[in-house]
Amino acid sequence: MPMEPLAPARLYHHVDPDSLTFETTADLRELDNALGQPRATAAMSFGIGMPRKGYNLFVLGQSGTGRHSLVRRTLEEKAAGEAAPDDWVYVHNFTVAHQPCAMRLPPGRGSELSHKMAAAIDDLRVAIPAVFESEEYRTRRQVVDASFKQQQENAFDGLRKRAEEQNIALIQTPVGMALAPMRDGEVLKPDQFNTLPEEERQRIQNTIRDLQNELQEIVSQMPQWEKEHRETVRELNREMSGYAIRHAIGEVSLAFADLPDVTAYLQTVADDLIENVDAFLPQPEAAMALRAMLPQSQKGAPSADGILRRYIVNVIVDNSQATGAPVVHDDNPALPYLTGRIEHIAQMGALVTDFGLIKPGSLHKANGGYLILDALRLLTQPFSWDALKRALRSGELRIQPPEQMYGMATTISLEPQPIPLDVKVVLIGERLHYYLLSQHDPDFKDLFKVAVDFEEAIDRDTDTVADYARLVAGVIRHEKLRPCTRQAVARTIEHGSRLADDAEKLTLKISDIGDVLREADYWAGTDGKAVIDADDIQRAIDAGIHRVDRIRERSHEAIERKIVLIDTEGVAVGQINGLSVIGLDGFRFGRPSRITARVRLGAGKVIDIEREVELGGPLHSKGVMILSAFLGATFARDMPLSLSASLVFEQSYGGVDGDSASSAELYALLSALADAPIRQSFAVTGSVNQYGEVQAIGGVNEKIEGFFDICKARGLTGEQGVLIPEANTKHLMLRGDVVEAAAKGRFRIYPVERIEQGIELLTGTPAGQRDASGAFPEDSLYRRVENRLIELAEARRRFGAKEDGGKPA
Amino acid sequence: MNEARNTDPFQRILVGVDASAGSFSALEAAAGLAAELHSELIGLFVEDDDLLSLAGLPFSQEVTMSGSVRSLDPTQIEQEMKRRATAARRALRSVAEQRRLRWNFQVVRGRVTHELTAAAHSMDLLCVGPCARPATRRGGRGETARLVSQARGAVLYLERHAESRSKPVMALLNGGAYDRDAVEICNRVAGARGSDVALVIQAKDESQAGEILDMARQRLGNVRNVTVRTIVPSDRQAILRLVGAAETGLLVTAADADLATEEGLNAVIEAADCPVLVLGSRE
Repeated sequence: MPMEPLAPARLYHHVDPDSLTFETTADLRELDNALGQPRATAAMSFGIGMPRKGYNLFVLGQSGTGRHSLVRRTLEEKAAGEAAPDDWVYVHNFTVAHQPCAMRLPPGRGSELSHKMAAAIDDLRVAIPAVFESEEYRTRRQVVDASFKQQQENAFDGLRKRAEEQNIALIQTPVGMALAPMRDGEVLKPDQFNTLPEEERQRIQNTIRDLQNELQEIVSQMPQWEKEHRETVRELNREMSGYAIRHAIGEVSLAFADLPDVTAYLQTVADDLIENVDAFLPQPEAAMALRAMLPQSQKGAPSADGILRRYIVNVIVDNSQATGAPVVHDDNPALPYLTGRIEHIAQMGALVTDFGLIKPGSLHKANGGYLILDALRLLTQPFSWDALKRALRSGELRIQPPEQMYGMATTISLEPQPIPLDVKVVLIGERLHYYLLSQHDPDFKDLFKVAVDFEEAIDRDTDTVADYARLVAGVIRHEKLRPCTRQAVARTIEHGSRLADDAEKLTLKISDIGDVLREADYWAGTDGKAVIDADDIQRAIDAGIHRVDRIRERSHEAIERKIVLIDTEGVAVGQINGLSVIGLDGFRFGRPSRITARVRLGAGKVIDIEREVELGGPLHSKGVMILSAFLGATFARDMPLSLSASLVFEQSYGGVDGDSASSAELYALLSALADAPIRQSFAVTGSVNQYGEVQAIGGVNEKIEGFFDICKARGLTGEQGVLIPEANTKHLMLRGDVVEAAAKGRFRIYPVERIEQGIELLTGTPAGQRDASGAFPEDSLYRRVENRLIELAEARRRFGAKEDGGKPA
Repeated sequence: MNEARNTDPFQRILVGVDASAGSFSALEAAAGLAAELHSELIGLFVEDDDLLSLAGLPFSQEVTMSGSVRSLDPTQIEQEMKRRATAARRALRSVAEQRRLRWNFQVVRGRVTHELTAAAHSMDLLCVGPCARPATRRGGRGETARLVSQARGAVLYLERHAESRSKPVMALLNGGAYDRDAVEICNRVAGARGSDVALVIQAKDESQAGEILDMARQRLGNVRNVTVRTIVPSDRQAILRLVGAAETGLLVTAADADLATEEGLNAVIEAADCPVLVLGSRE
């Protein structure tokens, strides 16, 4: 009984607009839950609620399935009911300067401390100079200085007096002082000295020696006097500035009396301020200019501004405005922006830093809440993945530049005190990333215990169609688009099936549906419509395809111009039209390819030429091997398969993979063996197993449409059509023009379950079945194949005998 | 030289330079004043005869400020003096050229005080810094007072050299012979600097104070702001307190009346936190 093509109704599964119970999407409520994602929603709920360490989430699924929006919405709902976390600030470590201290304060108190400290320091900038310019200070300082000078002068005066009594003068030399004998108010000249009696000369020398010893004694005491003077001045400064400083800092301390850590810190600040009160005094311009010109290594003690920077409070985390736990989405998880960084400023060609230049990362901002990261972006940032794992494992957040983290630099830098970390991390990525990490990173499963797996499609039934309409309404409302008529919604849902590659499914790639709706809204707008109707949806779909189908047009043009040889009529032995799908940037299209088979005497090997030249992938090779197995098992059970067959995709210059052409290759081989011509008006797709069953393949719609387009361009004859696996009929959501041509009998689609059905359609000759004696019917195609194989086996036997010296085996 | 130049209070300013850091600072200050008063700047380096004599003695030694003792070599001392004189000349030329001053530099040998005062006789103003004074006598200020009396002219005493050109110029007026000169100098210097003038008038009664103030106002045409403090009757301690408390760029006073004594001058110099210009006898 001849095989019937598929009825038009099976080529496209319509949504009846009348089955939808609304006029436009404006009548619909949005969905409360994520459509078709009960598993992901439950996993998400569990992962977020689970407070234990390591229960971070990895959200896996295709992009566009609404992962980000669902994650964000769920987290924000959860976070809104939680308390805002504490603030964190970094302050100067007065004991070990390069290890700044982290301090925790209740939400909002961090910035309050920062402002109050800044105000206190500003006050002191005025108050301390005023103290030092006061009459009291000047008077007391003059007393101290005068006392110091008096001490020196007394020492020198005493010496000078004793010297003068003995006619000796104390005079200044280029680098010190000396004692000289005097006469009549002038230093004794050498010739005058030499005329003195020996006794007198000796007396003078002895006197000078004694006085010189005294002078030495005085000079040796001077450093100690100077030190005592400095200490006295410092003590005076402490006393005079202490009151102003303790008053200013005390006011700050009063505001934070409930926080012992802060009050202890403020006490240390007050002590340090008193010790460094000079920083508040005006610096001589010349000294500042000189200092600016010095290289960093020669500057020694910090400048006045440098000292005052010690007292700033660097607010790393400010939750003063927070109303709940933070939900942070880090779009650029480079190490410095993830774990925080220590910035530098250029000063006279050198890079310098201090704790005030510590900047927070997204982990700081999300601490006490939730951090959403894109897995691929995280993994492609150097050091970020390791740093994240280290932070989650240790439960603390340590800011380390990479060169320090890996011991590649030993220069002195800041080592900020680590901050305790309590954050739930949500990674969003592709399935591939999840499984690669699971397989290759032993830490991954310990740190990301919760997989949130997003579906890409849902079953299409009455309920889901209704929900899908509400999903469309939600997108319309969220994007502020024109409402869709129910016809437009029906067309959108049909498109959802086409995107799912399945007439019985609906895609959950909401972003693709959103694109169509947005573009349909645009077209409706250009036509001045108030609502989006089905025409706008179709226009959006067609325009979207048209924008990206230049390659398809060029490819089909090459076939139409017979540059690429594809026959769509007539017959040929060992030649068949196979179908392949080409995917470019999300757009897929089908293209016919000529597959040819040649056979000759050989050792039972089917040569896959694509494979031989490394243009064929492993799946394609597998398909060829399977068809070889089918051939051997079906026709050469009792004899050696003595052929050598070659299979080739003609004019294929790129790679070929997949086994969807294996049935076509088998048909071509059978045609070549039986010398039975194949109708070129057909194209074939489908894989085959060792038992001759034709199996489902992907991209069936695109493949059919690809051959249809070529036939249509050359003129539909009514003889043309495509053989598809029967299992693929449920995937059919063909274009309107294909369905229309089929309805008019000008193009046919045949569902094939077995190779025998296909070969009969293609050659017009029944394949035949073995009878009770095990023989195929006389005129059957399989009989012709078998006969040819027997001939080849005989020929091989005869050939083998000649090789062995003419003795038949 | 034009007519305006002929009215300049100090046409020739002498500054002692011994190539020490202190003397270079004094040189800078003196050059600044010379520019403001359109004066010629004369540098004087004295090769200290006493030091050379000492170095020639067989047992001569110096005690350095680090406490070590080393012998004095006359040849080395001579060479050191030449080197310092050269450095002093170079420094003078540099500051003079920067300010486009007429300048001259002299090297003499002798006793420092004697040579300075001798040279000052033919000058209008002698500038001395802390290191330009000899150490053979007690303290610099007594020496300054002595210099003032011996110089028989004006002396600018430069102990502290912090940049203070924007601060007011202060004059201590007492109704004496130098009040007009003091006010004229204030007018010229404050006008050049764009600074204010502070007058401290000490008088026996209000009437005299008013006369002094009238005289001063007539001569302060270049000055934007003038502040006046009168002390009636004259009170040295009150003056010293005023001088000590004020922010001043230059203090101009006269070596007559109450400040004629060495002690009085010393006290003013001690109290002032700025260069002090003492107008002395012009006999």
